[in-house]
Amino acid sequence: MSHDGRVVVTEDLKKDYLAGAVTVHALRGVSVDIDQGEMVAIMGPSGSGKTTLLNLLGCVDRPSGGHYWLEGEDVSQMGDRALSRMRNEKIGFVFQTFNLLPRLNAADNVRLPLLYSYHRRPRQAPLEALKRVGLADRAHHRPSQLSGGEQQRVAIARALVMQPTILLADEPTGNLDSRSGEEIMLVFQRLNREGMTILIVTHDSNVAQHTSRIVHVFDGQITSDGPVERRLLAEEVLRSMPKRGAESE
Amino acid sequence: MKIWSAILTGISELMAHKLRSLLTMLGVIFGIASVIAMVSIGAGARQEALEQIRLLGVDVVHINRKSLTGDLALKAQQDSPQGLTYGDALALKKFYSSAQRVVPVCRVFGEVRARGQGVPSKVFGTTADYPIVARLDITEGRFIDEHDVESRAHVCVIGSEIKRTAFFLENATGRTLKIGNQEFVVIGVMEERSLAGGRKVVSLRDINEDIYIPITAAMDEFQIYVEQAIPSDYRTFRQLLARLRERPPLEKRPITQIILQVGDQRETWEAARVASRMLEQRHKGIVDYEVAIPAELLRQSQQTQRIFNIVMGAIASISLVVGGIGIMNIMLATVSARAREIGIRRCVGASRADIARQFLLECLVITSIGGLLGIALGVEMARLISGYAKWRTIVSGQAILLSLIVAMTTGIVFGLYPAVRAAKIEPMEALRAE
Ligand SMILES: Nc1ncnc2c1ncn2[C@@H]1O[C@H](COP(=O)(O)OP(=O)(O)OP(=O)(O)O)[C@@H](O)[C@H]1O
Ligand SMILES: [Mg+2]
Repeated sequence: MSHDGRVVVTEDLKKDYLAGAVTVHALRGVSVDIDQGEMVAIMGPSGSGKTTLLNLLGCVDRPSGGHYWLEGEDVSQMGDRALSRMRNEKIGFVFQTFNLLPRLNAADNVRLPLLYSYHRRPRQAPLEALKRVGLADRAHHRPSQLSGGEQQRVAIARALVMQPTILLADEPTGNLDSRSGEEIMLVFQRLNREGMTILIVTHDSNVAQHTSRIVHVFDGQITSDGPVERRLLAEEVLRSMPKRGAESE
Repeated sequence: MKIWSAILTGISELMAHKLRSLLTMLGVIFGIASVIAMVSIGAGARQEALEQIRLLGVDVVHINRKSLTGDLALKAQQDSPQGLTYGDALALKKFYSSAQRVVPVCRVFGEVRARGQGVPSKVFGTTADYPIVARLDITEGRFIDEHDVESRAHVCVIGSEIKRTAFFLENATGRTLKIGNQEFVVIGVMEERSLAGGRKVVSLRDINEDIYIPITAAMDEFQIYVEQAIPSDYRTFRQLLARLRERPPLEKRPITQIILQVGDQRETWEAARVASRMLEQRHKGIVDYEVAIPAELLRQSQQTQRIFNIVMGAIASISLVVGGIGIMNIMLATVSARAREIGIRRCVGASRADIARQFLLECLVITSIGGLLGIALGVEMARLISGYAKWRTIVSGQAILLSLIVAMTTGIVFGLYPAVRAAKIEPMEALRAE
């Protein structure tokens, strides 16, 4: 099946969890398309199924029903090896809590996906990725020696290093102060401008206003889906913000 | 994932928790060390037994005089009053054609003096073939020859220790020794034989203090040394003394040992059987001799060795199982502690198989390093044992290779379950847990 520039196509995607005797219907049939180059926010109250959807799209979990095509490939029925390969080559994850390995320095953290790759990537790929997030000079620092915003940028570099089809971010600014969060959004907007497809799960409508399209989820179903009218540009927001260190005044 | 990077991850994981890693390895270290130590003690003992028995010769049969007691002794008075005799040796030589050599030996009493000084020694009468069957060499002069035996010559061959105490390492041949009240001319010196220290499989006397004279001269000039129980009643005692003082023809004189050489180890059992039957007839059914086969001793010591090996193997496997369970325990704890890491690796593209392989390899790295440390410890233990207990130990390359393989197998066997557990961790659940 040709995907005609549509990176993600889902059809009636369902996910049930068995929690003891009760079945939790976390997703009750989600059909959504995401095109190449889009930057989409997924919003919704806590427990509405945002993370569940992201996990399905990120190939870390299999749906209980429905179909999911990633770049035209039906992922819903793939086995563990094939799914792992999908995650490795097509998906870049960014988490709320960064999830870097504390004992590895920035460059080695970024290199991690290469260890599981079937293809050779250039030796300098990790450094290139760090350069894209503006942290080339911190390559040999450990996560504990970096600020939260810097750690999140390293995590983005790790997500980029395999040149994936789509970036999936779950509350990427949730653990950051407003300025560091804005800097992360700046990185995302830049990557998006370069053509990267990005999906961001967030509670924060300010973050959502940085994207081009907002999908609302409620109780495992999509309730609304529409373009952002007055898109915020991170460069401008940052310019209007007080300088670092002046914030406490 | 490439094997090499998984191994590197394993090593860096070990280095990050040095104390924990060492504790994890302890069981394997001691298990392997005891394997090495025990194998090398076993190998040393085997080697020693072999060497000691080889000194006796594996193609010979020893027939030794045996003293009888009680009713048997009384019966022997009638039917075989002399016990083992020179005549027995002559008969064996004459009628048992498969015997390559028959060498009679008799120990005699007699104080040995050189330059008026007493010399501690043991005097044996024997024949020209003795050095061949006893595997001894001459360093100086010559051994007794047939002519000496025939002419009952007063010549002697001395052990190296005698030369040292009596002649202070000067040239000994041509000098004289006084044995009893007879003068004997030294015609040769035996090569020194060092007895390896350690546990004796067979008792070997210190032959460096031996003096050899022609058996004819021995029987002619001295009372024969007869290891016989002293009879309890006075009358029999008198009879014994009288008999020892008697001067019957040479064939009737008692001797202490006959050494039979057959030339082939496989024929020794047959030779022992034939000799036993002949002696049984000659001694009218009185078994006042014993037939010993050094090759049989070798077989017995190998059997003992087998038992030792089984016990050793059991101890080693128990300590390795205990060590392995320790590793499994700590690996299981590690797997839960590293759930987040596992989740991260899964998210960036590791399959369940990749995770399982990584943990299995880490286990293998632990047990291999533990194995190497155990080998080092075991070699050192073997060295200390030979130093203090004077046991010979042999550390063979084979034993080292074997223990390394055993260590790695332990790693795989006991790493399997933790590895499977690690592979089963759901990545997103692991990442959600704070
Ligand atoms: N592994 C699981 N087992 C059982 N129930 C689960 C599991 N994961 C999620 N759920 C349930 O599925 C529903 C959706 O959860 P999900 O994590 O997708 O919500 P969310 O929208 O991401 O919430 P939040 O904004 O708090 O992160 C919840 O009711 C949750 O309890
Ligand atoms: Mg969530």
